Amino acid sequence: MADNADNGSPGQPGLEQPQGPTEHLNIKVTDNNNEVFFKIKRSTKLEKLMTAFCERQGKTPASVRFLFEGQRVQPTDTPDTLEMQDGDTLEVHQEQVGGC
Amino acid sequence: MPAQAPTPRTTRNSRGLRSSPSVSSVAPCLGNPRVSRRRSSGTPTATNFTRALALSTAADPATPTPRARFAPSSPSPAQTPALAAIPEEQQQPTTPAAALPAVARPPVYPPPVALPPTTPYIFTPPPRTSSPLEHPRVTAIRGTPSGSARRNASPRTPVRYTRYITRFVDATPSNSPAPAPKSPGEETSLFRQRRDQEGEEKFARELWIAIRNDHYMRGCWCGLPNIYNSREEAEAAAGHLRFYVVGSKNKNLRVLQKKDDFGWHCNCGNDEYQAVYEALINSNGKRAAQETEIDLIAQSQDSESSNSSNKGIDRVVPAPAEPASDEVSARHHSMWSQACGIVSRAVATMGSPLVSILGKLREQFCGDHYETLDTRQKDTGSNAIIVKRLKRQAAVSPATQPLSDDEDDGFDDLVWTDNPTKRIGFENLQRLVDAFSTQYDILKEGNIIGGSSIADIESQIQDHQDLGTSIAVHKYQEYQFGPMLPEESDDEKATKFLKTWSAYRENLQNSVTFIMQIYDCDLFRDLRRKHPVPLRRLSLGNTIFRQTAMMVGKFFEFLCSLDDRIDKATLKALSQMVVDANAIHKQEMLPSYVELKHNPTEAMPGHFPEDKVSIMEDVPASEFEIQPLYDFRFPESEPCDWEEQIRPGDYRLVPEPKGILKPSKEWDLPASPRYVKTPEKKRKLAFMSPVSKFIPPAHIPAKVMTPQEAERIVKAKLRAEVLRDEHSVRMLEASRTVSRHEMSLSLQDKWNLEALENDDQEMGLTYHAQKYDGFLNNLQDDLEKRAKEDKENQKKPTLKLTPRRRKVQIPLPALPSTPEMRRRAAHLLENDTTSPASTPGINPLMRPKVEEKPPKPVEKKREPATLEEFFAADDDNLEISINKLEQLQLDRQIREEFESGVRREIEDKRRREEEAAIREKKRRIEEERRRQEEERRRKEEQDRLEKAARQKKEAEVFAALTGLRQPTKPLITDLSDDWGVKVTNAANANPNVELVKTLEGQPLTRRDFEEMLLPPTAWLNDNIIIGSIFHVADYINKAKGATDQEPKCAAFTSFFWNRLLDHGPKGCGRLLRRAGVRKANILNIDTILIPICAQSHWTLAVIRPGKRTVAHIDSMRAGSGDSAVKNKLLELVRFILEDEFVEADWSAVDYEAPRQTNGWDCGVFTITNAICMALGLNPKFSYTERELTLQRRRLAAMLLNEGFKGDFSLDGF
Repeated sequence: MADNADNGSPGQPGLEQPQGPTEHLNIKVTDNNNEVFFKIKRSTKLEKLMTAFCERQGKTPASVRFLFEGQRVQPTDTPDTLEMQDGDTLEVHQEQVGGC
Repeated sequence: MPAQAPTPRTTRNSRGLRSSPSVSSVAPCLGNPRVSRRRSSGTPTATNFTRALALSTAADPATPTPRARFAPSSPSPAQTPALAAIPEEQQQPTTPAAALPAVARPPVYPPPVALPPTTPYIFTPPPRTSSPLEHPRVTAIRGTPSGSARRNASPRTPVRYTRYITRFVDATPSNSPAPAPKSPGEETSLFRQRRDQEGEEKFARELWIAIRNDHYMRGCWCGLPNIYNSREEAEAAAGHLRFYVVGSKNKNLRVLQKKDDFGWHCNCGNDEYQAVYEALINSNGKRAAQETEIDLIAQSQDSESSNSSNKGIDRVVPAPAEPASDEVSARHHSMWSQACGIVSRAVATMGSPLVSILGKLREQFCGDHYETLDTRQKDTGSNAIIVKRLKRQAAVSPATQPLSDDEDDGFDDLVWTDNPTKRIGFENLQRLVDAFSTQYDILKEGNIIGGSSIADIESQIQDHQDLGTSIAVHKYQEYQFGPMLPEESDDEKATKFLKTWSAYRENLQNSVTFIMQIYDCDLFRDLRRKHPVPLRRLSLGNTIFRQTAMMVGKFFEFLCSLDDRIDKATLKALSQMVVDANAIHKQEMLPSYVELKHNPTEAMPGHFPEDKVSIMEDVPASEFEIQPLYDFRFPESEPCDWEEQIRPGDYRLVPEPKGILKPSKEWDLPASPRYVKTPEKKRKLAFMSPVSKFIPPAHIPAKVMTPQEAERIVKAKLRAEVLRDEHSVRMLEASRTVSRHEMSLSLQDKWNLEALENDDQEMGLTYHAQKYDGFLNNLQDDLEKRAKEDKENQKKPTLKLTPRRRKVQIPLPALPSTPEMRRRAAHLLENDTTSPASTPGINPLMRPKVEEKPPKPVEKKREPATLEEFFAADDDNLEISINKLEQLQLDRQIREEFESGVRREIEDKRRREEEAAIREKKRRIEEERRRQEEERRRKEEQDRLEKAARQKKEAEVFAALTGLRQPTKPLITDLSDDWGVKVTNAANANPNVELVKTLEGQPLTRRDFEEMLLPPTAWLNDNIIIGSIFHVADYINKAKGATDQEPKCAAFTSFFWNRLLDHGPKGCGRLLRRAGVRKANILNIDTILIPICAQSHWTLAVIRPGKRTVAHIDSMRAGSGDSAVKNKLLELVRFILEDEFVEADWSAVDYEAPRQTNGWDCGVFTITNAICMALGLNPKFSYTERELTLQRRRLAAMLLNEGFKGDFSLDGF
């Protein structure tokens, strides 16, 4: 462990570790067919996650909507602003279009 | 006699007809030199010939093969001693041993003649089977003067291809050689005899039926013989045969014959028709042949009749036909005539009305009336010589072995024969060799004479010279160089003669060598030993030998052409040798070398003969000709215009097919498949054959009449006008409608079904025709004969009329036709036709009449007694009766005109009354209509007012109920130009640039505007809906000074509804909180807007807690909503309010809104409804569907404006 800590991030982890809420969250992104798990920081913009998911699934970002408990997730949102917790789920919905 | 027979052909022609009393049954033989020298014009007798033959055969044992006397290989002068070895005195006429026939030497003149039996010449033609092929044309020919002369000609003419005229054969049971005319104007004895024999009633009846059947079978379209009411009427009428009815109750038919009347019973036998028909045929180019045919026949007939010494009998009556000869005659018909006969007989027997059409079609297409028959087969017994040859095989070059083995052509059935002379006969060969050598000697010694003609030679011949050989050489000269012309100089003649002489000699030499070599047993034995089986291809000798063989063959052929001087056995031998020579030349197997394998089982009983292909075939010797080899080596290629010939195994560059492998272009699918009804197939009836619609081509010109025809038409017209009987009318029609265009194909009533059926029941169709046809022919011949005699006796001036070049429709005057009138008219006509004054204008009966009516046959059936009484009064004054008639007709005309005038007046009056009534009726209807119109307009006005009042009232009521009011100004107004530009810019912006953010924080890009909002038919997406509705709520809240957490108007996203459905109200806590809807403040909120997207359809759910109502606005349902949605909303409210929810307060209502009728505007409807609901306006009165395209641009501008502020402020509604 010591070796690892020394090699990986000398000094800094020791400072950060006591602050619990800042650590990584495991977020599940699902669109009923696929489930993708992301591990992100609390302050990371969810745009990154959404782009990654779209790329992974080969979808256009404009045609999907990410919802967190029914609320639309904007690209500028972070887990913090949405008060997300570890293990929360982002639902991916299709863009709603209607005419007739 | 010697002067006769210029060429072999003509001699043959006349030979059969010539009679020579001195020789009764002498077989023709080769020229006998002894005899010819002894008597210059004598005919060889049978005894001479048989003696000569006996001598030659007696000499045979001494010389077993011809080779014994001739050196085979050298026909050179070294051989001549052998020829000379024949003792000189053998060739002298004095010694009987010298009677060896000089075979090829042309015989003496005249040639002996094979005679028919010595009985006087009675020709038995095949009985006349009334073939339906017999054409009007045929009968027409019968009418020509040469008709009787041609009677016996056709089968007798020994021309190689005899034209056989089917019609001129008949069978008469009468034995009387010639009908002796007794009294002019009365019946002939033939007629009388026949009638007496059969009984008067039966005779007339059956004769009439026979004539009718004959017409019918021929499909003839002319009229039938008339049947008159009484004998007087019949006598007054015209025509050779006149039928009349006797008896009033039981009617019987009688017939009388007027010999002095030349009008035959039938139009198709008339001269007029004949000429027309011939002219038509001439245009087809068939006339010429027919003419020469007739000429030929006439010639031969003339020569025959001139030979016959019996001048008293100028007509040869055919002997009664044997029933057995039916078969013979049947064979004479070609296959076509038989087939056609069967078909048309079948059709005729069925009684179909097609008959007349068939007849016309036959005229149209067939055209000719006689059959060309090949009589070769018939002659086999008597004249023609049949040779055997091997069937010609496929044309192959001699290098390759011909024929595939699997094809059985019968060649394998052949075996080598025992003796090569078997087929031809040893004695024949021997005789030929002797004759050739004799002639060779004569030629060698120069004992011949040349001359310009045979008569010349005969006159100048001297004792030591040989006449037969001279003539033969002369013939050969003609054969090679053509006849000697008088303008040729003596030198040329001499040169020709010398050439012929040497060629003839050489040919004789070659012939002898040929016979020696080919028919030599030793040579043949060697050949057999070498090849155990006959070869298909047999090469004898070298090329020069084969060429020589061909020349020898041609020489033999020439000898065969002297057939009248050579006896039959020799002729046959020569013909067979021609075949052999030909085979040698073509390197084929000689027919003389082989014979058919004997099949022992054939003789056994029970042998079933199988249909084997025989390699041997019989060919008439006259047909056989030597043909050059290269004809077979290089057969002419068949003409092939459109494609090049490709043999199997050839390779050919085929261009690669283009466009086949390309995928076909994919077309966009149509937006919505339209239902297209499958077009119904129009079915056409298919049984209409083109023949039935056939119209003769228009380019065939209409006939231009000759003066004779015009005259004939005038005559026919006169007859029709005067006689007024059906027959004459038909004749007139026939003469008018000469061109085929006007020939109508309509059925005539003469062959109506009823008559046919009756007839069929009565008797067979052909029976009477067969029975009476010969009789009718005889009668007609008599008639023709008389006509001819009359014409010769009195050369009367014929009627001269100006020719009419155009056909004119001549109206027929309606004349009363009574027997008496007709009789007068007939007299008038007879006078007229003979006198030049008989122009139509002068004829008193020819007044042009006002109306033209067909002749009424009713008048015929009047009681003759009363008519006779009537006419007896003014019998003497024809003029008066005519005037009376005119008066009567005039009266009738006046009466008719008067009646028609009265009728017209009455008609006019009635019409006027009717018109007045109609006018009155129309006026009344118009008035009624106007009144109704006014009423309707008044009612409409009233309705409109009422409706407006009711609407207002309703709106008030509604407003009171729902708290919704009408907008004070239009909700949707035009965009300003600035905003228009901005919207357009937004639609054209960089796609990746964020144009504006919604209140939610969602960025809007060009895609949202360009694809999801601005196009009039675009479907809106959630960004636009949510953004707009949030702006609405934001405006309301700001306007009412409310905050986000204490709102007056709350809005949800469209995902709220899905979550509500999925997770229930409990799962929506976060969203409710975020929207600021809590238990505490919900009742203070005016409006809660929830957009719903379900099944691609935007709707709006509205909760108005202040009014305690929930609603669902569906634009498709004009505002009313889904009760399930409303229940869900109530459930949500109940969840929020928990214990404060009072069931009774809350209700679900329906608002009225404009109805959506298209398939794309529901999003805009939803937003606009949300605006209205938030403002408290009644959507129904706030906007219309048509404004929503503008609303799209307004919404876009509002989104770009980030809310309802500034230009888009909702203040004042």
